[in-house]
Amino acid sequence: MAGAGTTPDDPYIGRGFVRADGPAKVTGAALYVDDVRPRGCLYGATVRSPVARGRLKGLRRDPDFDWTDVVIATAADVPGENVIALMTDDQPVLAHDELRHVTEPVALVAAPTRDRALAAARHVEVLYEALEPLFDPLKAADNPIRIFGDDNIFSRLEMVHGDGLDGMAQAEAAGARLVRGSYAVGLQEQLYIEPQGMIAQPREDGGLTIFGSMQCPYYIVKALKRVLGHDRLNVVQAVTGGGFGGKEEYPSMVAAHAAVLALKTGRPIKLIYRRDEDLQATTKRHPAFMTYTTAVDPASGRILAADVDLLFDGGAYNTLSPVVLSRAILHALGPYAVPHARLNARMVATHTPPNGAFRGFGAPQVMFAAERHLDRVARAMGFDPVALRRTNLYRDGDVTPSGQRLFDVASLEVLDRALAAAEAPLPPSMVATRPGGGQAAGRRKAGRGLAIAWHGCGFTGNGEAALAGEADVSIDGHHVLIHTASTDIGQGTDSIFPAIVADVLGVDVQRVHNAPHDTADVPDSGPTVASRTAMVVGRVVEQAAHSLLDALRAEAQWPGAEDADFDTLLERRPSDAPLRVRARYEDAGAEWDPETYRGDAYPTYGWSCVVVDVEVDTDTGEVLYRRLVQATDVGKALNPVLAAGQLEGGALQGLGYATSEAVVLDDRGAMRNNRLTNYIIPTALDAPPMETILVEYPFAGGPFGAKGIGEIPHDVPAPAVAAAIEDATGAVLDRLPMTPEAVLDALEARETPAETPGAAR
Amino acid sequence: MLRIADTFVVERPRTVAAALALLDAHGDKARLVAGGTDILVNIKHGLHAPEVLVDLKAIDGLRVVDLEGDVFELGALVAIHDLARHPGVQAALPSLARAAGLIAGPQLRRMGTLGGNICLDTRCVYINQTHFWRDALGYCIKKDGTVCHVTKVGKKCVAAASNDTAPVLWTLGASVRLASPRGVRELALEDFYVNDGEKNTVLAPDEILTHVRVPRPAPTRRMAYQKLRVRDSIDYPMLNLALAFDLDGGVVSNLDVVVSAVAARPRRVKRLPEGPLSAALIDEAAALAHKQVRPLTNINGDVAWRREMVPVLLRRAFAEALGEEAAA
Amino acid sequence: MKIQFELNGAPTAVEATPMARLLDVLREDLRLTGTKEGCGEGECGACTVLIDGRAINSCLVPVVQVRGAKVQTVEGLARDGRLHPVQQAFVDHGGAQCGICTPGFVVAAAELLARDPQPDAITIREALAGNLCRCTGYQKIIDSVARTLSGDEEAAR
Repeated sequence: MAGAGTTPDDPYIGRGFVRADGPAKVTGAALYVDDVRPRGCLYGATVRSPVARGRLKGLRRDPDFDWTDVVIATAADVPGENVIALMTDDQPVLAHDELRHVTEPVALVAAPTRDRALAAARHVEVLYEALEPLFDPLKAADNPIRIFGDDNIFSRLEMVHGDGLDGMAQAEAAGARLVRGSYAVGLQEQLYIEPQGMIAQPREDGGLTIFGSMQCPYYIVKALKRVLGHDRLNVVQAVTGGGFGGKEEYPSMVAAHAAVLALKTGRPIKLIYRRDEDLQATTKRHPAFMTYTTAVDPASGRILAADVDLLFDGGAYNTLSPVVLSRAILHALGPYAVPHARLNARMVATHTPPNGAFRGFGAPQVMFAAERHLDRVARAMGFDPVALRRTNLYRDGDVTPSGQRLFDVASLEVLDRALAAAEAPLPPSMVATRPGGGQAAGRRKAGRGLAIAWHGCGFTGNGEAALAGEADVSIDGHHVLIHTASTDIGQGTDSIFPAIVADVLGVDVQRVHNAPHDTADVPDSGPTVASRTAMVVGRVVEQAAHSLLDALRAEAQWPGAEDADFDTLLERRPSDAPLRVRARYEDAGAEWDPETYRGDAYPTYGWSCVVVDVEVDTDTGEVLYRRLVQATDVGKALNPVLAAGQLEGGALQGLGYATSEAVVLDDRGAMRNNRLTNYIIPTALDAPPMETILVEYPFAGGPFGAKGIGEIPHDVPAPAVAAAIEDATGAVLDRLPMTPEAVLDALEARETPAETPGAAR
Repeated sequence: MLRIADTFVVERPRTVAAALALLDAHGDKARLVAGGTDILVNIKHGLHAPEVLVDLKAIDGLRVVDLEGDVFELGALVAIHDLARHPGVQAALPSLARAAGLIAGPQLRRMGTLGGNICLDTRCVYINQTHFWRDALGYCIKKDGTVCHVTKVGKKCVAAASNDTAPVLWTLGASVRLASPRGVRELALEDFYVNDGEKNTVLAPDEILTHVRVPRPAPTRRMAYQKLRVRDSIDYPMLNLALAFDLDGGVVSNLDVVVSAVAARPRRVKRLPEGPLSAALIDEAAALAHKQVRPLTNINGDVAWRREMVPVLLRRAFAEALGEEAAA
Repeated sequence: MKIQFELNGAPTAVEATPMARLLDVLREDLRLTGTKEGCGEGECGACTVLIDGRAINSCLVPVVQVRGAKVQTVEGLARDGRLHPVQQAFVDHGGAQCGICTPGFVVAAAELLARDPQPDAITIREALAGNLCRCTGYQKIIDSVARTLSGDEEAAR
């Protein structure tokens, strides 16, 4: 494997080249933030609100505790603005007035050891006057209890496609049948295995260096400029133990806290979250309540019109919620062509810990609803679910609700290839029957479910053009360095970018490296989010590599240089002066109106079909996973091993979302199941054997045709599981998670004739 | 992340007598540790604050697995992993081997001990939390507080017995041998547990559980163990059930069913039927179990669902005991 | 107190409080930070090390309990600059992504392979069921262990 080629005829791209950080990770040499201990460092801990809502009255230090080596910081110690800069300025670094959610940071402590810091934090009592909280998102809008603005709505979107609701009325008049359904999903925790952590280290110039676990170094730069009131700071990514969106915006909070303590003490501060704290305090996937009405032609099964209402719960602060809602509404109809639609979406505020970025970013919620709704149509009108999908799937030339015309649509191919693969028997070497603990000897029923996803790659609309992400490539002796802010959080950026550059330059990939992701050095290539890194930044990196060749040729004064290869150019450089070139995202001319939500919503889309085989234990309601097949359009698999690995990991996160990952909030809005033994992610015994088919419909705007694949695998495992449960038992589940008790309830409801499935209106 | 406070002394006696002398000297300021998988987490969370920790792991002679006589003898320090994998235990006490194999995950089974599982502290969603969270909740009866967040009104702690081995050993008629400065006493397991979540055993502060004694089952004895949990690894039971009965000439007698992960003490189902093995007999037993066992909100999992699972586990236990385990 | 044990084949002595977690002694006193902490409660397996050849969670082991024992960490698996075959397999077959769980998986897998050189898929899944991974979906980890080369194959590489 390591012997993949070094010339354009024998490229790395498309091969399973070895990941650059593999050896360091398997030997334990890779340094994560908690593995680093700066000289003289103090340990930080956070004092948090014990209530959902209250008026902060002050802090009380336990007089019996020894405070000699402890420093306490409060909102008064924030040198600049007491705000975490994101979409809006509603969230403070430390609460100073009203407490808006349980676990909200109120004060910080620093002490010479972690034990002392944790003990000190325990002995600071938060004094408050309790106020009545608002927990129910369905009652949040215009509630007299105010959390945000004058109506508790963080954001509101409406889209009208075709003739909107008039299209629905026309279809109904022409004999279409209306099918209406409601769907709901709960919170989900990212559960990166490395908890949040950050080190803030004072610099000699009075500034700070921030080092830690993160996805987006420049988010932290942006946030800390305002917290500090100056820009003497640099942010460096440590090897990061998973993110999944959970380390998109939240690390700005951790970094701000470490920074405040570092400035107050003049010492390096290390702030690492405990697991229970991470579970209870940090952002989660938004719960959603979704209602779909569709007009369907009874003869063909064509969906003629749709009316969709989405209500998302943002929690106590806005974070990135408006962008989540944007992606939700744009994906809400699933991968199906619908000529007329009206879509409404609202993001409301409640006194619960803020929700934020999580792989899929609004899409898994709405695609659960869209796919379940299609199954409802099939059930109500007597269509085969697969045939109904085939009828309605987008094809080349179809137009999305935003008016974007689609080309190179892989929808039918992913469907056919996933189905074909699932028809073949599971290879014997992969068979791994879950042995069953208390589950043996039940009345088990087998079923198969299928769901199809589309996912817009990269930022919405003109986001990439507005950001204009940059990447540098430089020469470092015999080696080549790539400078971007695009972090490797496990998905393989530090291996993919060097392979792209190695192929452009025709050199051994061992000579190409990602420079440390340090904002003192790297340009702002944008955040590591939105399935954009390989596709968007990878393309900029590819262009930078071409620019490097151009620059070398330009400085070469000898004949034939224009055709010379990289090594020859390097060897014959007129000087060994530093050479560093920059490329910038080139606006492909996307037409997008952020006011009307009309235009090209995304540069391109990925397509995926997931087939899940389950056994439903009809005595306990437990769902056992037997096999998962996915066929996913990746544009071009830059590295098939890494691509499949990312898709499989996303799919298992989707299976957890489907059945086991319930966040249980207590009467203060605090996560009660705040341990790894009660917030239940699958183990190796719960995960099914997984087969992954990489379909390649190249995207001209991505490097070598690649599309973003980070999020799409999480989009539809859950509805595929719901369909499989229905296939096995006839039980209909329209809410997530589908816990054993929920499945059992649905099995009982199935036996009650009063229920009219797919109630037609 | 969260360290273990090092404010106490650790002693490593080599003999039971030396361990007892330490307990005698330090009274209730001392606590025992073997595998450490339970108590170390609880110390970290501030549930115990011993001044002296008596580490039993260096004591020889408590790792015995003696299956020779009419009464089997199992040392308290036998590792859970070894118990689960022991061919003799698998053959003679299959429900015990099965229960051991379903405890936690592979690593913890190598660390944890039989004695430790029998003495496992009770569990509750309101107690197995960090000190910070118990503080925010206003504490509870089990530690530092006066209320019970589960029953709201009760004055008695209802944290759940969560040991996998306890219900099994109970149905096997096991007893525990307890050593103290006063000598050695042997107690039937059902007399060892009491219905108080604060401390659900009668183990005195100066006593050490040294051995478990299990009467050799009659050749007619059938047994089974069923555990409810969402994952196939790592987790504590949300409900568990052990069953044993004699089957002779198609007739069931001495049927015994013990259900746990419900209340502080495992609960034996009463008035169970006897007679020819039949669907009706199993139905009757299942109905009795369902009627008599009422889970609380003390541990994870929907209460109504957990209760509905009582007869399900009982039926499965019958199937398991009869070798009818359906292929997966 | 002074505690002596064998660490990755070499005699080692540390001055530590007896109840110090083996995890902390390894990471902070001995600066072997390859062993990771994911939960500190014995529920994720990131801190897995071998004590006398058995995979355990070092976050729940007081260092006093390893006195005189053989402790092996992820740092001790590679020999003479060559990765242990299972480490090489994780590199080659996508067993590591973010990497925070990887040392724990590699150590648990090494223990399995020491007693069962050619485990089937279910045996591998059972042996690794005390380790949580959130990146891979486990398939590439299972593949890595299944495709770990035997000693002879390794020598022929």
